[in-house]
Amino acid sequence: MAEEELISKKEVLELTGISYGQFYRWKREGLIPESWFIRKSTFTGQETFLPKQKILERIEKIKALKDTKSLEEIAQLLSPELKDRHFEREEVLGLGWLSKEVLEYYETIRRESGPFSFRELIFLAVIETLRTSELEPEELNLVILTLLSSDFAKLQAKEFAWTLAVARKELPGSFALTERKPHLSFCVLFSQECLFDPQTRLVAKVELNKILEDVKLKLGAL
Amino acid sequence: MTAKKGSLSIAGAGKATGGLYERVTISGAGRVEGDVEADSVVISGAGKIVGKVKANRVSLAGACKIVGAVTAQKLDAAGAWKVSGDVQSEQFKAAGAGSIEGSVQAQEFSNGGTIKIAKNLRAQRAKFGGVLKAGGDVEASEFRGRGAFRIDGLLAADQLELELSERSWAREIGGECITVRKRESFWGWLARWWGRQIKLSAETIEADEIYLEATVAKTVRGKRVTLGPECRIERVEYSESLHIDPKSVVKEQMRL
Repeated sequence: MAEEELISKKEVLELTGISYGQFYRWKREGLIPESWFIRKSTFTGQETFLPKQKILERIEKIKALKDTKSLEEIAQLLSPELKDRHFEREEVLGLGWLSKEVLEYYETIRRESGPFSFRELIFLAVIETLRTSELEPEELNLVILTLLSSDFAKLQAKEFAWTLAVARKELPGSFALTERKPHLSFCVLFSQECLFDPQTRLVAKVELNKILEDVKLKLGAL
Repeated sequence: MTAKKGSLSIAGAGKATGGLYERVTISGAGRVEGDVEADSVVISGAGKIVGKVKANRVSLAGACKIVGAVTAQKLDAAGAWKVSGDVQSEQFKAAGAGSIEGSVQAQEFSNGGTIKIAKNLRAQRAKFGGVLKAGGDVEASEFRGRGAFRIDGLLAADQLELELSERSWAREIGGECITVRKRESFWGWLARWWGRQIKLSAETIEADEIYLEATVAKTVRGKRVTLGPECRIERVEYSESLHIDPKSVVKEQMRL
């Protein structure tokens, strides 16, 4: 990746004509992301630099909005809450982390294609992760059903650290003719720990927090 | 239907588990284990809560400790208190010798003792008298301080007014209007007699309107800059005006 061209804070102010007060206020209100600030030593001591293109574009945007909107509103516009955003089918595939099969599979269940909500993106990521495990199609459907009927706000709550798991319980009685032993599958959502009886085996497990973070990170590339 | 919540009260050396309460009162060497959610949490003495605390009103007095984050509408802390986690409060009043091993976010913040914040302090209005130490940035729309501070990151406010009575330091100071004055006090006089100067040191100070006294800085940048007595600045960059007191030294000055 080519290194981004940097610009000193002083030059930003000179080029855009904004005041020191405005600059620091915008930074405080979260209009200029913390991660853009890069400290470097120069001949006059330490100086703060910023990615040139990004900061100049950002300041133009803020300037254009500031007369009609409050700083708080602008902050929200600039970093729209993921939960309110919708993602087009192409956009999702373009990210390159979701396979077409999974998307199409989900679409057949959903009976319509895109746009997808952030919540659905999380579900898709869960299915994508589980795809490589030994789950049967019915079990995958079970996962989707469980996710769809769950309270998403609760799932997102950091303090719970939810785990989604698929468990199989072997049923008594042997059927010599069928290769597979009959079993009962179920999907559970739990935080912390979940214990099963000895006949039950966990076949797949995903930590939802990790998936959430992952998806957010990948969306950052949008 | 809302279940009526019980209250928890520990006096002396008791132990209890966290949970949902109406009132939590710990006096003496009580200890609560687990997250606590209550209308009010009052700890006096050497109480300890191991878990997150969420309440309308939290009051700490004495050598108490909360091992976890605190979210409170109103938070009053005095004595030798300690919070190991982030603090979020509408109204945070601190006194005594407090320490926070996280960040603070408050609407109104005031400190009248010695407070040490490991990370950032972000407030709408911050007022301090005493000593403020922060390991990260301190940002407010209005910041008024009297005493001494040591900020390892950026100190920024729209309105920044400081009255120093001891040596202070911040890596960077920025904002709209910055005023730094030296305050003569008995302790300051004593410190000077002891050979310690009352001064503010910073790498850079940037604002539209700047008035400084007793400040040592590498770079001062602003629209209108006025340097009062006892300043030593390596480089001043200004766009509209610059006044320098005869008792101050500026190595280099440049009009932008």
